[in-house]
Amino acid sequence: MPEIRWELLTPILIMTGTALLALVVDLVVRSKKTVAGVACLGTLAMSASSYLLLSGLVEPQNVFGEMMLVSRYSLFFNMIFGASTLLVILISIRTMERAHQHQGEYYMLILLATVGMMLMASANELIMVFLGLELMSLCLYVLAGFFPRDLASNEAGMKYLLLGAFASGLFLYGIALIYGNVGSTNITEIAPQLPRIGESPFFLVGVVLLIVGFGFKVALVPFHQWAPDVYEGAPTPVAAFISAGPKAAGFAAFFRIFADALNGISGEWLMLVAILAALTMTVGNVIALVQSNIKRMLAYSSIAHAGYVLVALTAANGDGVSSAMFYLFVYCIMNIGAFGTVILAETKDSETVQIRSYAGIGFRRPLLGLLMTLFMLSLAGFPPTAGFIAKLNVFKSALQAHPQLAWLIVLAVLNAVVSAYYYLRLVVFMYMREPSEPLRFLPYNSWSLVAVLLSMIGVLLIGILPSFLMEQTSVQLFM
Amino acid sequence: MTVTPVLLLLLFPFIGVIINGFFGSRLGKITGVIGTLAIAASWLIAIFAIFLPVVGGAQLDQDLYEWIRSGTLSVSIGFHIDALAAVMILVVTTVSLFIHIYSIGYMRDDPGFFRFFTYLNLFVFAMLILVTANNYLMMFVGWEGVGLCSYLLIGFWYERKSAIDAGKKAFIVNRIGDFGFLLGLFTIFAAFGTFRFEEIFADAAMQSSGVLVAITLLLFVGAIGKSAQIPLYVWLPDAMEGPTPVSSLIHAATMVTAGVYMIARSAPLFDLAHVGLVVAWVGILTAFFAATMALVNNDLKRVLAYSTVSQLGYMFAGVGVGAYAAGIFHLMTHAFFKGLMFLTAGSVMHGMDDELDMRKMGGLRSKMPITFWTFLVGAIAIAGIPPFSGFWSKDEILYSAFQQQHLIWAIGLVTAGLTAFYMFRLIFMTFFGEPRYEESVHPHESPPVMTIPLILLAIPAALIGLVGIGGHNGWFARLLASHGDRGVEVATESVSALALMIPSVLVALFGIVLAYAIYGAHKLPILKLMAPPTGLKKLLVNRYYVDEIYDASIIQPIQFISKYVLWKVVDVGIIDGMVNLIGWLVRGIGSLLRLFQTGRVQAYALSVIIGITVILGYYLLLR
Amino acid sequence: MTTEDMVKTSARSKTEDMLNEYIPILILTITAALFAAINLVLSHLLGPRKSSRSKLSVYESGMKPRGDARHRFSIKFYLIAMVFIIFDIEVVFLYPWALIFRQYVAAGPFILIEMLVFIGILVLGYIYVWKKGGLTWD
Repeated sequence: MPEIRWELLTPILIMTGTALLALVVDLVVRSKKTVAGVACLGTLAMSASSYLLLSGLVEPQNVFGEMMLVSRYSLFFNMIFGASTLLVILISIRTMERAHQHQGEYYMLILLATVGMMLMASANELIMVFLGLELMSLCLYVLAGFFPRDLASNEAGMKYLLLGAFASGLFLYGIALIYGNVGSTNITEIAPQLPRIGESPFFLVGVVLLIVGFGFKVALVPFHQWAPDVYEGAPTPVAAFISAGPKAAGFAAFFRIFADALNGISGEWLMLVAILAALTMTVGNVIALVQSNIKRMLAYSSIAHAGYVLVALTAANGDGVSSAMFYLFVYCIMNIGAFGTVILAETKDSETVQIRSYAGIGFRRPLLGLLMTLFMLSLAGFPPTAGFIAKLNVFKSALQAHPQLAWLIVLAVLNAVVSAYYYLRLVVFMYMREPSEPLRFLPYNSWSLVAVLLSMIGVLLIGILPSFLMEQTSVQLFM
Repeated sequence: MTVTPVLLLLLFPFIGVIINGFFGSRLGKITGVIGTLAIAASWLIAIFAIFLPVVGGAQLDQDLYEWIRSGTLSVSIGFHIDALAAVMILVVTTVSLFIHIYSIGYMRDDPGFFRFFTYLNLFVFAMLILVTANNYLMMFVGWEGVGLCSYLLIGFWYERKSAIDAGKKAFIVNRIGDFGFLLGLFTIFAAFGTFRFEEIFADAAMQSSGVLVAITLLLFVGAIGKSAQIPLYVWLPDAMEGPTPVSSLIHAATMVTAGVYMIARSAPLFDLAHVGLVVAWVGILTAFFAATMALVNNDLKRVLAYSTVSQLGYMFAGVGVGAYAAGIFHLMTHAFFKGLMFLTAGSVMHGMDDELDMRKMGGLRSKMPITFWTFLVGAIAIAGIPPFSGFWSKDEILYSAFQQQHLIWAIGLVTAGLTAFYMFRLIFMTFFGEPRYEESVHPHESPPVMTIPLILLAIPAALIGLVGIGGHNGWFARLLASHGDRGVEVATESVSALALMIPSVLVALFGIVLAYAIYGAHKLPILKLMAPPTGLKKLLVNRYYVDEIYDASIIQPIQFISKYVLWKVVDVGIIDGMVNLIGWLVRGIGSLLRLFQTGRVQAYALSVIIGITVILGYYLLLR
Repeated sequence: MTTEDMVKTSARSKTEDMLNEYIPILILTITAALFAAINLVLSHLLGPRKSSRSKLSVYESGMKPRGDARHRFSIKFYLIAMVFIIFDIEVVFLYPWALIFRQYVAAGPFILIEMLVFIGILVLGYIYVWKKGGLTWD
């Protein structure tokens, strides 16, 4: 019987345990805030244990036979998931209190989805990746349609389910084709076989189908079209959640398979990834320009950000992977911060989702205006925010690895300029336009405020003192 | 020596900023006490945990945290404490402490009370970063930080247009200097691959002299901007629009001396590049011309401002001729006596309903005795009468200059006479003679919270010079000698130091007597004072028309070009046109792409399928 | 011919070999499709079409149909059916476990604990369904 090193599994065990505990606590207690509290504590414990393992771990370790590989890489992603889940739980409390129904289940689904993401990041088996993906996706389908009486939410859930199932099928087909060629679903077994099978068309079809599967999950153009509809329809905290952790998880597995296992045939997929990155950035940013709904704008913005992360994959080396890890961490924090600020801006009647409703908000709610400005600046990549350092790292690593891809970096920088237009437009609305209608704002919800302030501190701290985080992201390839 | 005291030193002002900045509006007047206590704590640390150990021989150079790593660039947050830094820390914290106490009284009725103390603490924090840094980039952060605080504090009374204009002027002129400094930093990084002082100085001898000359001259441009030397001095007199404690702390005692400190810090580079004489000449000419402008000015604070520019010129002359210890020594004595004089000027303003025109003063000696006596201490100190502090430091600079070039010494000597003259002109016009103020003004002595700092500051202003007795072999010079003071080597006693002291004392006495003869011996008729100046005096009153020349030669052409060429043609016509065209195109494409977002699941699935087909087609057929 | 070309050719021929292996499957697929199509077409062409009342009536094992076949079932029916299927399938995991139990139990109680955890999670789900009222009909 193989020995199992349980201590390496503590983060996943803690998260699973917390999800089950949340289920039980929900049955026992009346105040659903307790469930949220349990979820927060569990997430914190998971992040802490990941950090402790990360600081002690040198070599990657196989666990459960060779089903999982616990490495600095997977542990850092655990921390990304931990941070985004914690923030999302905090910004959910208010929305869920208003919804009344099924609050306990909500937190459990978030936690289980997080377990799925962690499995994806630490998987050493294609099957494991798929299981994690499905565990995560099934929870997300339910979460997207979590308000059954809200038609938009219903539609979002249904669309996400149909298209997600479609993409899962393609992904599984890709796994099957790769298995047919490699003779194993183990990710580490792929690289040694590449000289033999690298040119086989069946293998390449499998690789392409994997790209499509991941491309759907992280919303790359042209597999992105579900994203704006789902973000707009889903409850705002759920949209924040879908835009952050799952995207990071998709990239975690994507990078693990491509930058690591398939690195030997990077010549085959490099150009495809570069073109997808170019398309994704450009289409995301250009459509975001004409949005009038802030959730849709953030949806397109998150599509564009996926494009930037994909630029890091073209580097296909340790630097590229590190810069992508850094980027994803920063992206999750600032994106959830932006969504959280949208939640803070809710009025007595409804959420404030129309961009024109933000006119004059900067003076009437100074803190809100300041926070939103900061997140917009960070998303646009202005110093001294974290978004700037993250973009800089990604572009630099890609350019160093493949100088012939300079056109991609030029395009990325141009895209960053274009994106500044719509991010700053919101700021202009907040500070330079007179409000059209008087909005009756609710007082700030303290939980959401805590989450948004945490994001703000993160964005500024990483922007000014980036090197601590950079140390954590330094990984070798073949992690 | 450990890094802990340095961290604590920085921590207290920072805490002050946080508390006052975030909660100041609710805390009310207590913010002044909080800000002062923060500085007091730093002051105690500066004396007992930094200055005294350094005197005992302790040193520190330690990287604390890697701040930026990007390729070969690695910048750390780290501290370098030696005698030079310790002296600066001591001066900064001591003067700041007195000025903080004083400000509690001076700013008592100002609605921006907490804002003032927040900025003041932030300034001290930035200034301490500047002097404790162990690399040029961190020094630059402090450099820009104090610049920001200076800008904020000059424009502190933002309802006054003149204050805002002065703030903008200081900001823009300083940008020119900072641009030079920044270019210097880039050159340093290109040549040495690091920003750390120790590594740079260790490698400096290996560099070609051309590179070193470029670096040092660019750094010197930065110093010219920050320390208000020719030709960038014009912002400092206008900066007097800020509250008087600010003029005292930032624009006399500390920030403006940052340039001198930076050159002293970069001494190994300046020595190897042999650009010292450039520095010395710029300094001594500034000293002279600023002193002549102070001769005729009637604005109490502006006379002091020109005096500051002039004294800064002395410091540059000192470090320029290689007498770094003398330059820093004068920096220290000047910080005390000029800080003191600005505070007394503030006290006069306080008692005179904010009147600054000396022609409308007179006879204030009996009305505000403490103010008068403390000011007199400062004036004697700056005039260079032994044994007051200014004598020792100024004489030290003149002596070193004499070793290098007699002409520099001669100009310095004349300037010393001018200094004594304008300072005592100020005293006779303000404190002696018949009152010339209006009936409605009732001059009175300031409250103890303001006068006690004056008295306390007068003690070091008078006596601090004694630490420098002995010249190049004195205690102070030996303390800084570890810092490679070149003056020690060139002290081939062609003329004995004592022989040079005699003319400078005589010149100072002559200036005082002359001032008495013109302004103190008889009653000054107010009408004559108000008469428009003529001849040479007119030239001086108009400050050599430098502001007008800048306006005509730089500002007007730039405005013309920006308005008629850049704005109307280039910007509106070409750039805006292109931007609008691109914007229109991109938005058009966006609207077009939006049509594909139909909201139908089937269409989305179809787009996925089309995507796969295209990719697979590329892989299987085209490749 | 350079070595590189040779490698490419050999790779291509290998691919062709692999494709050749699938030819029987292709033939079978086509045959099956043709067989179905031909039968459908033939029965359509050859079969006589004469409809009468008794031919068109619903066949209910010789009984006369009563009412509409499309009843509305209570949603609870589906819910309980789903819960049943979930637990039913999960119980299937017990069989392979039982098969290897004897082999591994000697090494320690781990295999027992593993199953206890598995069943514990199932019980948790059962309690959840129960508490949420998933098993009560009304």
